[in-house]
Amino acid sequence: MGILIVDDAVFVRADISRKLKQNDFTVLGEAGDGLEAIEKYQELKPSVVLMDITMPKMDGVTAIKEIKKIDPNAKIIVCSAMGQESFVMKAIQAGAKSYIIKPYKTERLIEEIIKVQLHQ
Amino acid sequence: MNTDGLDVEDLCLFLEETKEQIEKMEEELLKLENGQEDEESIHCIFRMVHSIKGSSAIMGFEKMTSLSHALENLLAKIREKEMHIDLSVMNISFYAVDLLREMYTNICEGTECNTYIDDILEQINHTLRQDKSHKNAKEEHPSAKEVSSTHKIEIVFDEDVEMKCIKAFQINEILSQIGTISKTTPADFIQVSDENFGDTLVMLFYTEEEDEKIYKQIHSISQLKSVSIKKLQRDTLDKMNEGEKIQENYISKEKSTIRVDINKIDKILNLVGEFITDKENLNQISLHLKKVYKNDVQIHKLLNTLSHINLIGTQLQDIVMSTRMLPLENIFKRFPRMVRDLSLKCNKEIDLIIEGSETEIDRGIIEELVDPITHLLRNAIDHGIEEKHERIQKGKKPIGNLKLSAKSEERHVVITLSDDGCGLDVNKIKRKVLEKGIATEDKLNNLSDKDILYYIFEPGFSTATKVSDISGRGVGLDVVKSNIRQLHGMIDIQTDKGKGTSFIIKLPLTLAISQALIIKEQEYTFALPVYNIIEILRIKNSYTDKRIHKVGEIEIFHWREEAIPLIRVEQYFKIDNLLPTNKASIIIVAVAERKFGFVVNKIVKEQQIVIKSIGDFVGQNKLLGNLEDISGVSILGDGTLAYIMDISSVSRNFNQ
Repeated sequence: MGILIVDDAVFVRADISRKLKQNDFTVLGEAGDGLEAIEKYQELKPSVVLMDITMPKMDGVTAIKEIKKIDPNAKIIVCSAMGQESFVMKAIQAGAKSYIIKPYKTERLIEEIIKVQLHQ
Repeated sequence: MNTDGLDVEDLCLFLEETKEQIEKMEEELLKLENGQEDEESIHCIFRMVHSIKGSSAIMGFEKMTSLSHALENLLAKIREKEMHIDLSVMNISFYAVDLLREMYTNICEGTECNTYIDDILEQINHTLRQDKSHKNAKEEHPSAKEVSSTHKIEIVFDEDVEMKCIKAFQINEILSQIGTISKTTPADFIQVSDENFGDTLVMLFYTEEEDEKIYKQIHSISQLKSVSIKKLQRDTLDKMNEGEKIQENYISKEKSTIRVDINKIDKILNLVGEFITDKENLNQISLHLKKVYKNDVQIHKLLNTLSHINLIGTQLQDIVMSTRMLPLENIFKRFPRMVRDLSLKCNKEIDLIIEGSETEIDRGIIEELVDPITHLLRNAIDHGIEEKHERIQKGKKPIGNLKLSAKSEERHVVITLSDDGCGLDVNKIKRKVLEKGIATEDKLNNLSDKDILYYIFEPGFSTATKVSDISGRGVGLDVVKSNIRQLHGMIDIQTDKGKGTSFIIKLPLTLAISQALIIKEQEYTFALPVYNIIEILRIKNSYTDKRIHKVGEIEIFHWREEAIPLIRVEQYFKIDNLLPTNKASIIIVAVAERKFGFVVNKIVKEQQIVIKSIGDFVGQNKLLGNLEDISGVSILGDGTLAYIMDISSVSRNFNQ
């Protein structure tokens, strides 16, 4: 069970990574934009992707679509800021399995990760 | 099929909604085929099918559910881009729409739904099976025998759920994979903000799956506090539909209108008709009384009251008429589909442009227009518009244009159908007329080209060299003429050889009541619809007037620098002239753009008449025999029978 963290803020990536590791999750890698996310996905084959929406080079929604093309079974959780309903909706329609709104508690994140892994 | 125990109101809502959905589906399918819209159209069609599936399941129309379910499977593949839209998919979809409409009609008529759907289900499954990625097509195909069931699902969200609309959307998506959601509360949840959402989502869900499977699907979504699934019994469902909020989005639509049985409106119209006849009668009696009791106070009161009754009568009539008006869209919308099918059959590419479909006309007329317009469209596609290669050779655009337009003009509606095809060939028509022995060469030589064109409306006439199954049996245009005449309408042809043909149909706004000029010729009374009249002139002596000249057999009247042929009503209708009189009036009338004058002996007055059709009594071996040129009768206030002149028919017969 490995996780890929996609976010353009290094701090956010580091924070999530640390919290997940504390809870015995394996963080396989990190990506700073959509393009990198696609590369890392193919390289690392993570079981869950945490995907930010607003990012340089390629946004999260486009990245989700591309990853879904490569692997229709990819399990992606969208991480969005408040008030971005329309983007979250697009991400869900693009194939994201779930969403989580920043700022969130670690338990919520863990709950989502477990949920998407349990259900095919 | 079982509709027992269902509320009539529910059924009405269901029917109304389903009708709209079927029509919308067809409309979007046409767009899709024309390549106008792609994804949005597919989504739209999908939503329509999905919703028909759900609501028909609730109503217990199993065949409709089975077919829409199968169609939905097919559309899902297309939506997911796992399958391409090709001609066979389009044809299956159109066929399915036809069948859905047939079922709809059956339900409307309260008859058992006999629609045979096994074939189409097999076709859909065959198409799905061909698609390799679809391994389990057969499993997805629901059989009408399977037990279907509707569940009421109540989902309570955790307190801290954000973006509830998206959560609801996820649940909606995930359940749609295993069944159909027919109704939700909140209804349009995508639009509902978190503050207004509350914490509960209620869904009516139809599926063949076990409860366990439903739970499993729903629980793949996070942050749900509780999920309850209740299987609904038929009567529970009915009660729920009656009272619960779940229907509120339907009811709110109905706020400002009520549905009224059309029979009631027709009855009101009939009563208004009789009221108007009596009113005219009262007016006549009062005129007589006025002369006799000039100085009586009561008479003045009577006259005052009568003038008020006249006012009310007019308003009453206008209002009742307006309730009977329907936009032409009601029939125009079925033509794109027809044109599509026919042009495919003829191997021609044709664009149909529809304009002015919002134009309103009496509902009694509207249905009668379907046949004539259908025939004219068929004719245009089959004979008018050339095949692609021929068009290219002639330097025309390869895609043919057909334009169907409507507009209101004072008291009538003008419908025009134009094509940019080869136009009508007068010489060809002449040859055909002679060949079929419809008229002699002598007669044809005396006719203008325009008059010759009208032979295409003659029974037994067909210019197509080969008979096709679309048109060309020589029955079509004959029907056009008789139907339009039945409606007191006029039809005109404009054609430009090589460039195209226009058929112009002019119709009265309403059939039942009309303003007419009452004319008396000896003991016969005629009514002339005023909308045809341009001007009325009184002349001292119709035999010596200098403006009248004889050209061959025909009398010509010089009027405003135009030469207008005259018809002496007396002679035309072969009425014995018992009391010869020279005084006369000339009534100038127009039919489409043709003008001619009626010479009449006595104009009585202008009044409203209630038209009674005599269609059933006219014709060979019928009660009244061949009564050409008379389109109906009306009983006047004093009990006289007035013959309503069919001016378009007179004009045609006169010219021949």
